[in-house]
Amino acid sequence: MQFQPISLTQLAASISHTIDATFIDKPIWVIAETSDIKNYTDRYYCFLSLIEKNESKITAKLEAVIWRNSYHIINKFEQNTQIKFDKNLKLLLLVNVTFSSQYGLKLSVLDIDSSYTLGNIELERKAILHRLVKENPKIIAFDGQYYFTINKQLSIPKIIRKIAIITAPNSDGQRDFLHELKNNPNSFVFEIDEYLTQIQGNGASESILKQLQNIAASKSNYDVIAIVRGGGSQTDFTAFENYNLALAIAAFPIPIITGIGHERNISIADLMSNNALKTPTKVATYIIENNCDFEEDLMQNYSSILHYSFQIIDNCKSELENIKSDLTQSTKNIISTQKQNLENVNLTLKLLSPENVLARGYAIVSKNKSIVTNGETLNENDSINIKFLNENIDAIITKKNG
Amino acid sequence: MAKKITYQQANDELNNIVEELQNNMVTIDIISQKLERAKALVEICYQTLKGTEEKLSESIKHLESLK
Repeated sequence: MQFQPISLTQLAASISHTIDATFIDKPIWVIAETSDIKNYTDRYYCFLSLIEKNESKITAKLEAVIWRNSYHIINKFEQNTQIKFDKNLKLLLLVNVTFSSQYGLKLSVLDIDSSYTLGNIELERKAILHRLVKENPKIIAFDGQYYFTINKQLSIPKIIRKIAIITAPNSDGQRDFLHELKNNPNSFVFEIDEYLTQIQGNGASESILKQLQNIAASKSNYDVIAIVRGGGSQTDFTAFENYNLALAIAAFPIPIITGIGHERNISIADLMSNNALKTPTKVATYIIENNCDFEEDLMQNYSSILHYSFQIIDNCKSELENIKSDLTQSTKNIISTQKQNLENVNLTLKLLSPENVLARGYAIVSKNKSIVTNGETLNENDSINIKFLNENIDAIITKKNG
Repeated sequence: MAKKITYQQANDELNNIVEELQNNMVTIDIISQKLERAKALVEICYQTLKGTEEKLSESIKHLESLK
């Protein structure tokens, strides 16, 4: 067999020709997973590999590039999805298939469909939420609108004093939270233990989970736990969409307040926590206001106690006044009744006195110095004495008429 | 004995005396005795009220200083 070799350049030209014939000016939408990203942010281009896997086996792998004129699509994607453009992302990409004699086959990425990714994220998120509810019925319940977790049902103590904070070291979130609490206008004093951890990037959810376990193991009686994040990438919230972390938060026996700086969405961690606020500062403000409410209630109660106490004293005073007047009145009544009785007795005595009787024309008859009350005891010729009011007469009975 | 008596006890006793007087259960012989007792009880009550009122006023001042 006779070989007619051609030069590599010729071969490359031939390949180029063949590829161009099929693909030139015909961008194609392709679904692929990102891998091996080399992003030159200062030079505005990015090399990456696009792969497809069947389970863990790679079934296709093509080199790709995002050139300077399409470089803005990375930023657009991150803003739309709130996800960091990174490896292991399943994307729908618009690509041009190109071939260069020097650099070989490359897919030139022209666009990334954010809605495809958002849809996937939403599906994934729904799947995680569904699994959380289905596999942990004693910890998480869903009524079609709200998630009810053990953590959510814990009541926030009326006074929050001891706080555990999970956050990234030297982050804005850490600074904002601590600053707000330490400079509170009411001079509340907080005892704050910091559980510092990586809060974004690979392994973040495991690190946060580990810190939750450390808090549980510390056996410290924290009033609340704050998971706060601020100042980092606005696109990497994946740690807070993690099943294991979400479950740990849902089941945690101390109220967890999240402030993870997610401006648009509510993460799964937020849904499972006792209370989800937007920023670390808002978490701190919430804690301070919680204590303010208690202080105000306390003052209000104190004030009411004093008010009602004065009222009781006033009541006692008027009761005493009544008693005093009752005492005076009753005593007066008794004395005047007694006086009246005495008057009556006196009058009766007066009326019954012999002088009074004699004055009315009666006379007293005596015989042998005894008052005669029965005429039958008197006989004719008896000597008797008759006493008038002014006169005393001795007499002899001359006749008895019977 | 007078010092140990509470406001409520003093008040109850006063009310009893009033009731006895109103129902003619007190003879003239002991009426002045009862009145003396009542006077002492009223005194105790007023003293207690005064003391409580002073303490409350202090508390009000304290509350104002907190606000």
